[in-house]
Amino acid sequence: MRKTLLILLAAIGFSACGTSGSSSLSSRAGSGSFLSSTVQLDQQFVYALSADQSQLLAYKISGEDEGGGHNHDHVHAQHDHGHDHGHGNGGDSGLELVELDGSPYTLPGGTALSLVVAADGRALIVIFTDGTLRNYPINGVTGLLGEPASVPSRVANPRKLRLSPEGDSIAVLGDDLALFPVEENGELAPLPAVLPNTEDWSDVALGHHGGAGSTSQGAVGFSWERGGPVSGSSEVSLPGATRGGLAIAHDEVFVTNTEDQTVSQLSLDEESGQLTLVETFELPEEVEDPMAIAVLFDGEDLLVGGTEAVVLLHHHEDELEEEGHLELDQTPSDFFSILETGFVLVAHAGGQGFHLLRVDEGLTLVSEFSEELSNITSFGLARRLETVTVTEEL
Amino acid sequence: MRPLISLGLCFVIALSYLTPVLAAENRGDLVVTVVREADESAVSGATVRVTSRDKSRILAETTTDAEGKARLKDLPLGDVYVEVTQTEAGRDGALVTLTAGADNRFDAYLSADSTAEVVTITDSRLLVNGSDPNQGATTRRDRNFLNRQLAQSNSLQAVMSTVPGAQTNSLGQVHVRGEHKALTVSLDGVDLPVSTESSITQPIDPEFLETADVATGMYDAAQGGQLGAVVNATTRGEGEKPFAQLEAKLGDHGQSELVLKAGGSNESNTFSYFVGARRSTSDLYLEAPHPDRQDLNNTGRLNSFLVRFQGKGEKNRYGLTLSHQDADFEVPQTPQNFAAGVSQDQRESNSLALLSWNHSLTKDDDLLMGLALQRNRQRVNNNGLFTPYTAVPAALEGELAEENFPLDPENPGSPYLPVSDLTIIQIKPSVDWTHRFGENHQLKAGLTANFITADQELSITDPGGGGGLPNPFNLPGSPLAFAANVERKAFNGGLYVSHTYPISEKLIVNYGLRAETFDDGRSVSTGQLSPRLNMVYSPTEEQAVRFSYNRLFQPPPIEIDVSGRTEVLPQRTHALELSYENQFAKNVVGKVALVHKRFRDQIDVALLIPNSNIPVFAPINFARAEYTGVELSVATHNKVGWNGFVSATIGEARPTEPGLFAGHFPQYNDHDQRVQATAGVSHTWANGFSAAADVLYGSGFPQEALPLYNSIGISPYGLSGDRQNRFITNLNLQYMPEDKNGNGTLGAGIQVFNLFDNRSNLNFLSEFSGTRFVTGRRFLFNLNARF
Repeated sequence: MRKTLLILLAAIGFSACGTSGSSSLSSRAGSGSFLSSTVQLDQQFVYALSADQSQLLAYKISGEDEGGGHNHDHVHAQHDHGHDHGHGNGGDSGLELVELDGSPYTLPGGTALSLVVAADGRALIVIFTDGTLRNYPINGVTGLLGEPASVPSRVANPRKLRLSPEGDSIAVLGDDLALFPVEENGELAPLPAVLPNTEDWSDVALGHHGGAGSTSQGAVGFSWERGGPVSGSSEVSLPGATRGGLAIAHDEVFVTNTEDQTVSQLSLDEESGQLTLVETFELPEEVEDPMAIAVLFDGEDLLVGGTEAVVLLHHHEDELEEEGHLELDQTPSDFFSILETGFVLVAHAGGQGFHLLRVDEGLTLVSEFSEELSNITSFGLARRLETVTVTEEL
Repeated sequence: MRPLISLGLCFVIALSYLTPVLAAENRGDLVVTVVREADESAVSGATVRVTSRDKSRILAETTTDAEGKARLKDLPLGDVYVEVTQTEAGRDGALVTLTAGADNRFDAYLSADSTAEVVTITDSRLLVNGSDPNQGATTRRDRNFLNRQLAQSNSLQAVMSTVPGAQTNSLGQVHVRGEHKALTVSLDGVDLPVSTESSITQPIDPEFLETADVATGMYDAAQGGQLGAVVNATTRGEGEKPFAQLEAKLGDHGQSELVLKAGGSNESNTFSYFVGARRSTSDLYLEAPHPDRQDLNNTGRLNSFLVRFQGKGEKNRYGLTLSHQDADFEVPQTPQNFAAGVSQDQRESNSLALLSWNHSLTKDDDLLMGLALQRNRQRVNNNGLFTPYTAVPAALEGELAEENFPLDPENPGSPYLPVSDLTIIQIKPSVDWTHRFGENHQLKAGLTANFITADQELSITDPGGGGGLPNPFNLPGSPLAFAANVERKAFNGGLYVSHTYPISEKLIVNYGLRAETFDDGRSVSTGQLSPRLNMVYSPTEEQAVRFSYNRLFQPPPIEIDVSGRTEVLPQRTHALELSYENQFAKNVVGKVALVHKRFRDQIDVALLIPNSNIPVFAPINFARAEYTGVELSVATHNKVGWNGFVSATIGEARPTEPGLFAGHFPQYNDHDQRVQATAGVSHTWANGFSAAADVLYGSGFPQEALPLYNSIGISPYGLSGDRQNRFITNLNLQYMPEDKNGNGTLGAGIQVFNLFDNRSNLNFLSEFSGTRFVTGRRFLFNLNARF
């Protein structure tokens, strides 16, 4: 048997644009037999969490010429170029999700609730029902997870786990709101900033220097600099008595008012955390009980999910214009936009599996995944852009 | 391994019961039958004397037995004079060409009328050895042919191009019957270890060879290793008066050459020696990647040195050979890369020490022991400059894009910075044992082993975005750098039994079994039992029909393979051959052969970095492959007057399954498929002047990418279509007078290579050789002095 040891010698972060840079090989002369290969990775892995069974689904986003040898849930979605927003980078190569060998994986240590992928795709962070955050390093070559480090979230009854737009902070929403900086290597700061008494918050979203939460009365903004304390602001009342999800794009916050069948647009001052109601929009009647919301294409579009339906709205000045809707057999609980490709993953908490939608001129259902797994709550995307040297000692 | 161990035990037991004998394949036995011409009665007590062709040395002498027969053993190969005298019965004599392996025959007819003091021997010889079942695929190239007929006689590739079944390619590559660079050089009957895959030079400089018998098939079980072709080589010295020869050559394109040869033997021919030294330079060292600018970073230099000593006594013969070559040359560049300052160079050296001992245990038993030590080193370096690489976009041509071919095939860029250092040391002991039961009836057995130590260091980066580096771990994307240091000890060993049996006077069969084992020092350990069957039927003295089935086992090079790993497997071959040979006129022999070979895990030699011109080669396996060929050759063997030769091959070598290294395979894995023909004509005058011309015609498929480029409107270098032809003509005018009075001679000559300046394409963006064009016309003048 050949003695094989894979060593990740270097993982030097490259700029996000992926420009090629010369790499210097580590000198191994005289150190015995080895084979060494240095590659510039540009890989994307998608993870989905089935909360009921603490099962983690893992996929590789692959081009057409890759992905050989993996036969599970091999789905190919061809992306027609020509989205009028001009943000798509899926191009004509489409989007292909290839499930990794061995997926789904069981996450030991309790009941997992929700996940995010942070630190430029280096860490997959999961919140468990007992309040423990487990931080799994992601192998940029294989997409597989390493041994996790555990950090107590210090939040009772956790419900949500959210990620900042830069991927360098997370928020744990429970009876309190805990905000953790995430280091470049994926480690979590041991002590979070805490905003207490968030029992009635239904959702939270992070912006660049603050965030907002949806409450039974309306919405609350807060400001927070990484490593500093968090300070909340006064609550803004919104129509109706129940709230669904909320989403942030720059300084704009969108909150679904489930009972009122509306979406409210608020302005967030991240310096003070102050929220200001801008306008409340009626939602199309196709969307009942709107619980899930996502902003797409830098805030130009809104995707709202209600009872067994999804609607795409174009936000232009003070109007929300419906661009399409799609009926589903399950109710969306959350959305996850795969970068700016126009592809969106739809979670169905309490349902079976998840859906992949394509947002283009309208909405298209691309595929359904893992219907055997229930209560899929959250997704994460690890995009690895880096130079890696793999060495095998012979 | 268990079958091999069992076979080994059987072999040892068999040895204990058989009388040991020696058999050296670089020597020949001559069986002389002496009868009276009048009534064909046997003449006993006749003196049989064998002398060298210049009659300066007696090589062997004996007397006939009661049946009028005499056997003269271990004679040097090639032409010898045989004289038979008996006081009462008379005299006879002949010029005999000795071949290795089976018995050579001469029937002397003594007549009382021929009792004169001098026997007149004509230059007519029997050139077909109808008693040798293994000679059917052997072509002899002697010094006369090399000096006078062939312009590029110090290039083994050029010599091989005149052999039927061989197709020559660029960068020293020779494809023999679908094999790739599987060339073994044998000296003193001992197979030399093979050179590295990337070496341009050979273990021994062909300049120093006196004869080269090139066998391309019909191997007996004694033959193992690289069996594309086996070059059984001899040097001068034995049976000659001491001589010295100095030759100076000067030509255009920086060509220069200085050759020193000296050799000879003592009066009793018990000691002989040969010393050779050569230094050559050229500004057109390798086949260039551009047809019109072939001198861009294309200088090269070669130093070679060879010394041989042979001694023999009544029962023993010893040989010691020391050889060293070192070559230093640049890697030729395209004009664009040259203008950007890109420079890469290669250095290689081959050192060889060979010791052989041939011991005659009894009159019917011979033992040959050999020990070869060879060290090959090959290094590639760069000056740190590169040019960017732009691949064909998928939108333009999908297949070209998938294979990462360059958008501008004439200016593909030089994106890589290669550094390599490969050292292979081989120690190869061997022992062969032969017992003769009688004429054309012998049993041979032997053992060979090759202990190989390899140290290969590689560091290649891809700053220019070439995207072709090996990816040993199948990592996503294209590697930016590949580095390796692979040190290992490999082993290849074999043992064999071979029996040659005359079923009748006209039908002789050779059969045998060879067991071999191979361990690459890493991950491959395997072996094979290889049966061999070779038959010859000789309806007349001048004709021979031969049939052969050979099972062959070819160990792979102990080098990193194209995947960047060390997983290449040995090649296993079934080879079938049917040939007919006829000496249809005085000194004129023709031969036609049909060959079919089936390969499993066929070993091909590819560039480690495809689509590049970096001469770092690496082995690759095709799971299955086939070769079918028809070969025709005609050659004359006159000392003076007109001579000529024709060798033609129509062959087809195809991989049929890709193997684990690649998801695809080329239509043909010889880029020079499918036709190659060489021909030459020469005239030698008695005063030593000779004029010769030789031509090479090749027609094949350089690369399948060419039609794809054509399909998108690109005709690189004006090329179109998938089949390319080349027609190369060389001239050789020499004045080499015979030294009749021992005072030495002066001579001169001129060689013109590629007379019509044909610069056809050899390879186009080949994964195996890159882009290469035939080297243009060159002139080379020489002056020689012989003492």
